[in-house]
Amino acid sequence: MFVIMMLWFGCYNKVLTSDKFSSLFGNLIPSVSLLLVMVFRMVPNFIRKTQQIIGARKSIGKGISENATTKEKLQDGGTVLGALTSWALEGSVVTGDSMRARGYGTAKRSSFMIYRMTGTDWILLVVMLVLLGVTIAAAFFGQFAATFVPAIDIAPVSWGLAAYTGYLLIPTALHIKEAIQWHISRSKI
Amino acid sequence: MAHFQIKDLNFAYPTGKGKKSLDGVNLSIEKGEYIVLCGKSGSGKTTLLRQLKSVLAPHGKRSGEILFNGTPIEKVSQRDQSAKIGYVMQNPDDQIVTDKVWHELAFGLESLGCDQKTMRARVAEMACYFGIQDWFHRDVANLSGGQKQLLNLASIMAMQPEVLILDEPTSQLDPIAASDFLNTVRKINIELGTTVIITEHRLEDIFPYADRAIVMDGGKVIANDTPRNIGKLLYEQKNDMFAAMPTPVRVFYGAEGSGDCPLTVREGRTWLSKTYPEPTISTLPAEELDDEIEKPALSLKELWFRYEKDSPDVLRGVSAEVPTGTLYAIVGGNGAGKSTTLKAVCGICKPYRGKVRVFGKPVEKYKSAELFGGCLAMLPQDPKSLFVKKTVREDLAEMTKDEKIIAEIAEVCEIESLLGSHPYDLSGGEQQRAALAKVLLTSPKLLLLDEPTKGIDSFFKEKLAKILCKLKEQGITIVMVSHDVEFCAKYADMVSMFFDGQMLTTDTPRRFFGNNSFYTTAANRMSRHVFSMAVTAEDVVELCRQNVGAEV
Amino acid sequence: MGFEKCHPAVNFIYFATVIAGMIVFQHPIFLLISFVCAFIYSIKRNGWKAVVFNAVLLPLVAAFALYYSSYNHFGVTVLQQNMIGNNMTLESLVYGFVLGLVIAGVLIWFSCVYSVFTTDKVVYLFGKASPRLSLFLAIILRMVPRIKKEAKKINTALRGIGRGANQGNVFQRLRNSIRILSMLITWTIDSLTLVSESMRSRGSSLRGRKAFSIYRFDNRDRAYVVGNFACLTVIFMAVMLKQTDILYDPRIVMNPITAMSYLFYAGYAVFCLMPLGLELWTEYRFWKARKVL
Repeated sequence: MFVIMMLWFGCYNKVLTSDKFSSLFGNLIPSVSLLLVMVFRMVPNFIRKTQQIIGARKSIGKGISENATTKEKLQDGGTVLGALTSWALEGSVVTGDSMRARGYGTAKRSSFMIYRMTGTDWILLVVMLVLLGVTIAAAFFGQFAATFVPAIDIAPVSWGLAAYTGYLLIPTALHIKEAIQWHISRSKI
Repeated sequence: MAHFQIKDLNFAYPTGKGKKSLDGVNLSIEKGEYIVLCGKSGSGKTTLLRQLKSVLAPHGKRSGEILFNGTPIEKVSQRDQSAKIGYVMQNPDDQIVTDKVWHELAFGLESLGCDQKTMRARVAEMACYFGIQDWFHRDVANLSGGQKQLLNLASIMAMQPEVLILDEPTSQLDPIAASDFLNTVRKINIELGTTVIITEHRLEDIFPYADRAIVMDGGKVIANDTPRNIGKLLYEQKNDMFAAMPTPVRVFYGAEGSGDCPLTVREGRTWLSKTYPEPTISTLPAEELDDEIEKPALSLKELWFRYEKDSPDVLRGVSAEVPTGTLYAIVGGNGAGKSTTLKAVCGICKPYRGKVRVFGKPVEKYKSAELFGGCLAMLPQDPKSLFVKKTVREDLAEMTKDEKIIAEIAEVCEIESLLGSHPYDLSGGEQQRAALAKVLLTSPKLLLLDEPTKGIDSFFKEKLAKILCKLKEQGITIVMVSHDVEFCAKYADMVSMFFDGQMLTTDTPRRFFGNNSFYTTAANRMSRHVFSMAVTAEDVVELCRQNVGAEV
Repeated sequence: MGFEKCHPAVNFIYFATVIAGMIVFQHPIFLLISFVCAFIYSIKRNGWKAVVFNAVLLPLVAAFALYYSSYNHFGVTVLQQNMIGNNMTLESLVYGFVLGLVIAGVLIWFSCVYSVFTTDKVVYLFGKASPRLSLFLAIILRMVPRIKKEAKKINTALRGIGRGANQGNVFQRLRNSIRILSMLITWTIDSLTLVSESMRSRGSSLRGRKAFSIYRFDNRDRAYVVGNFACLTVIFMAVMLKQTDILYDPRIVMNPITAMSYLFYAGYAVFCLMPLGLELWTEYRFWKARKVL
């Protein structure tokens, strides 16, 4: 089950990028979504700055040698963290100034939506809801039961499973359909 | 009605102990004007600019009036101020809020609560005007410094402001990106009629095109006139700010020329041709160059380096030899690999081909403590990365416990008065010198400097040059990577050009810049058709004087 | 990293000698060594595509051997009689196999050449020989993709008015295609005139033309060339000592394999594997430098 979760999270990571995530919550809670966006921006910046600080300290001889004690490594890490915090605070003051200079907080925020729901999106939504409904009904009827104690007893395969499979395969089917369409239109040129 | 009317403005910071940061400032700025504000660090430029926008104005004692379109600035609503007054700050990275280019462009409009249609239209037109449509969907982290600052400008222009205030916008940018940015600002002023108030240390690009220049010193406005007259005024007062004037101005007054003062290289060339049509002494002697360097301080042989296995090579066979006790400058375009070369010398980046020899010994043979404790040290591009403590004194004490040595180094770097301050409270030039003091406490024999003159004004540059000369007298070898062609021409002993992952030509400054026709100083570009081997303003003035003497 | 970063002259010397060796030597062991080295190197440079390519080649070699032996009837060991009554001999089968391997090996080496040599290296090498020829070659290399693009553009434009190359019945299509071809020729001549004007305005007809060389001959190239020629000396000795001679007609006759032959085989293998060794060594040094970070 863990493996499956990790695989699904890998797919999620590929499909739902940070700006899609923030545009989801944009219209509902604009301020929270802005906060999320700023966090997404800060994390890689922090990592880069940490590497810069470590590199700079190494070049004046304060780098950590390979055979340092754990205590020394912790101390060095603490110093770098302190420097990073100071830098981050300074930067955030300037960012705050820049945000207020552009009118942050003067009026109710709207959200620039770069993604729109098209006709295909609605159809897909309907198909997904139908399959999901069928799957939930099947689960209700006990078609997905499986006990492992005291003896393995798995429910037989039936239409509920087919609906569930269909639901899971929707993105894959979309990809395949697009690939086929692309090939057909290319061969027509 | 003036766009901005400043009447008798006085301002003092609460921690300033009564010293006035702004003293009796009286200014009137008309609609559509292009104003340049200049002055030394600490003269009150940023304080004045920040007063023009309520959200950015610092706390303190203020008296006097600021009128925006006839209304006092406190009475203008926040919403109006955000939309009508745009403010661009120094650091491109810190100003950006979101992580995608399209989101940043829409940020200001979102804050004003615009509806979808207006936002789309304005974002589209701004992206087209600035040429951003190619990188509209990119992550901000993948943009260069120049692109980020342009994005900041576009994001502010999307709100259609009436006035644009820029506080040292190009100090963190390389020369090409800086000149692109300033051209864009000028285009905005000419095509859209936006009032522009800009402060800069690099005056070569903006001085000739400004309508008015305002010079500040110690919180007071000491000059407020057209650029041509400002040059004359500063020269007659023998003000320190005269050293910050563009090269043609300095040459004209240094050579005691008559007539209209030239502001651009083109006007300078015309003036020189007219005044010295046939100079008798037309060249300066070039410096001597040793052919064989025995015992070089640093020797690089055929270095090859890349960051990832599949990325292109950054260093492609870099070879160089640095003689002991010299100031060796490496110049070249942005992103060419100059900083990577310095990192390879330090051992931060390990090249997969080639050898680095420091004082004759390969750098891998040095133990880390031996290498950085008395042999070499590097001052990084961002000096803030070196500060880890709350005061400058504590930062210096991290390197050594000996009070006497700290006092000595503080004297050499001229930071005795700054020892009690927090490192982040210092100005750019002061931070640079404090970082240099920290680096010098490792008593290096080879000092590596990565862009030491980034964002500091000409006054501090001269101070830095004096410190470097003092170090050279003590026998320390200095290798400097820089974009600042004028600084290298004036103070370096040898200059080397970095291009396409290799060090191409190495020569003395006079010959190096004398032979180039584009990548050279403004003084050389102005005078190369009349004088040869004149690379600094002082050189040109010297040659002018010699020719006047010869004629008489 | 790798062989393509060396000077083009070094690349040229290596590939010229190794392909010449493949063609000239028909001794099975030398042939096999060269073929295996070509196989490994092509996989290193081209990845999985090379494996597929080579896997397709081997059955073709076997087919060619069969074809050869059914049309050439020298040799004494008869395997089978074909329908007309001619003999299919072992010697001709083996020789057919050898020839097939030579052709396959040369093809694989050429695929390696293709991945190492870019067009500007070819232009550079020609430029050392004759600057005018290299300029001619450079112009052609630029014109060919442009002509393809322009053909597409003209076709698309004409499709918009119903005169495209695949619109209408057979005669109309023929007429449209001929029309497009003639327009393309006109465009090419016009474009070449403009190119030559641009060249002449920048002084290309002046005497004393020199070629700009972006490649430097550094120490690693020197070391490689020395190693290459050392191996060639060993191979030359092998030829002198008749270690590479073999006869297939009428009987397979080889020189006996002595301990010294192993020396020559090793020398030939080293010669063929030198670029691969260079690439692996550079990658190892890169990996080691990164590991210490």
